[in-house]
Amino acid sequence: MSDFDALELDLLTELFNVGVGKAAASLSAMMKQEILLDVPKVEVLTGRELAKHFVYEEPLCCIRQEATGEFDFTSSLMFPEQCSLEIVRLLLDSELDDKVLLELRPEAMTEIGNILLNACIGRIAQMMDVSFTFGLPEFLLKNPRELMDYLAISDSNKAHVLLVSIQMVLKKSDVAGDLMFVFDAPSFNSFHRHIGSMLTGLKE
Amino acid sequence: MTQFENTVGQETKSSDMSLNKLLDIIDTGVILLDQSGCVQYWNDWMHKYSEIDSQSSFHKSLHELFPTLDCPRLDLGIEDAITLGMSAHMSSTLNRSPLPLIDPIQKRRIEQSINIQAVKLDNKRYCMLQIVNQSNNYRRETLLQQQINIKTETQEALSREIKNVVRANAAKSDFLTAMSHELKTPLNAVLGFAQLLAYKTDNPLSGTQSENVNQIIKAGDHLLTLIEGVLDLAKIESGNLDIKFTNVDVKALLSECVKLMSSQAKQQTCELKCHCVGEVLVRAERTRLKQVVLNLLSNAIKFNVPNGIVTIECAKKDRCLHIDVNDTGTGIDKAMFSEVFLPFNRLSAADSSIEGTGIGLNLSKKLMEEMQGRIGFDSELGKGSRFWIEIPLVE
Repeated sequence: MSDFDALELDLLTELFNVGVGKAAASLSAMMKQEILLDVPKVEVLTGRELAKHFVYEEPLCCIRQEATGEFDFTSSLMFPEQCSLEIVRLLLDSELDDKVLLELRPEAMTEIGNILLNACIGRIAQMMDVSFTFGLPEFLLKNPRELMDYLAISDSNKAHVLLVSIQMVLKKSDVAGDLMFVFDAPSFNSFHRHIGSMLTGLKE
Repeated sequence: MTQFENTVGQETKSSDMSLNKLLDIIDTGVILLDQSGCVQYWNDWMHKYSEIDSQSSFHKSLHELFPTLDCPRLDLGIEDAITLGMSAHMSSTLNRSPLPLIDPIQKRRIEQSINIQAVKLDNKRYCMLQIVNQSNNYRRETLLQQQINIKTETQEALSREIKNVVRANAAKSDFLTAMSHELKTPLNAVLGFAQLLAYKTDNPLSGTQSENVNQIIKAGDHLLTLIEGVLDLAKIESGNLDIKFTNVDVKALLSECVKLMSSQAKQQTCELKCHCVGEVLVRAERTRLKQVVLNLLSNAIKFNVPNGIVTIECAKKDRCLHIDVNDTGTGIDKAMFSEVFLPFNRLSAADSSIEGTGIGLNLSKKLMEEMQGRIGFDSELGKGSRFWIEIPLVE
């Protein structure tokens, strides 16, 4: 499902390209290593369509933050479980064994996810000239089905999901993750209107 | 009345009072910053851990209150909350005690996690900091300490093992010394009587008998060399090898060695050349130095090609004499370089008909070390090897 036309999707891709770039720069500074980034893939889906996206049952490590403002949404940053462990390992100390990393992961990932989400959404909000108030980040580790139930988007055609797939190449390993924004119908329409008027502004 | 009531208290006075009481008794630090980053509210917990009371903190920035504060991540988090409405979480895992807060009982800087929450009140942005003491939690340092403990335990177990191994090695050396003596006595008898048989002039042996006796002598000699080598190694390892240093005339020693090896060289159709400078004196034990040179020469001959050449060269270098033994033999594979001086390691010779015990070079190395000298080599496969020793000159 996509109410967005090709031009609007192009603009969204461009916005997320800049936003995710800013997030990668923050991550790069934290990890003290260069991070190469692919242009993110942006899709607009319903909850039901999203279910098809997660074909594997591997648990996802998710950092979720609510935003309220000119439109409301829930933003989530998701990494496959193993990938999240690798990020924590890179960030903390490669000497630590897996058991210790597992203990430290919730807090570390909450902060990493929060930094990435803030960097990305903050940059996009600046470009769109909108303001929000964000809630505190929450760490979740669930398999895709449980996660969608938790976010109340399972089997739903009501929730509008903006899915941004990110591929980052780190020195030692590649990190693939998804950014997910869930809107209710009125918020989604408002978001759509903002993108539309931004495009009109650009055309003028 | 605290400033928090002035800013956010739109409720009745009684509910303001209960809110303040609540914020003062919770076990969390609460700070409210206004749009310019100045303190609007500072709860009792903050007073307790910073020794700055609510009155003194009012309208001051965190940097004014804590001049040593150096945490760009906290500064950015506060700025993002005030300008962009972004909330952030600073974990104690990734941030080590951002605020200089001291536990009043333990007198230690506490570890803390900080929630930076963007708050919008009356269309104005504020930033609320919630500070949680994480010092008593099961945290990274505790986990790291556990790992250090495990490492220390492993290290201790390892040292215990090493001690056991050293003890076992000493026992082995003692055993070898004792056994070698026990073996040498009957072997000397075997060799002595075999030699008597071989050189008997009154009743000479037949051709086959003489051949058989020569085999006994050859095998006996080989065994004797091996036993003596093992005895020497055991002596060195147990610290019982007593080097008697004297001034050794190298030229005379080398010419003796060349003479001794000439028959073996002839047998192997190998030419022996000695280029040595005039009289040079070194500090060493003559017998042991001769043992090392003979071992190097014997190897150079054994591992040479037919009609090959073995050259001895001497040169003074710093305060040492450098003796090279070059051969034109098959050379040593680079992959085996690290194994050359290991005991009982005969490299590729193990599969050939070349005789040897496999302890000669190991023994030579240990003897050179005992004499404060050095031994080394370089080699190229198919071209030959150069083994060298260095021994201190007489001052």
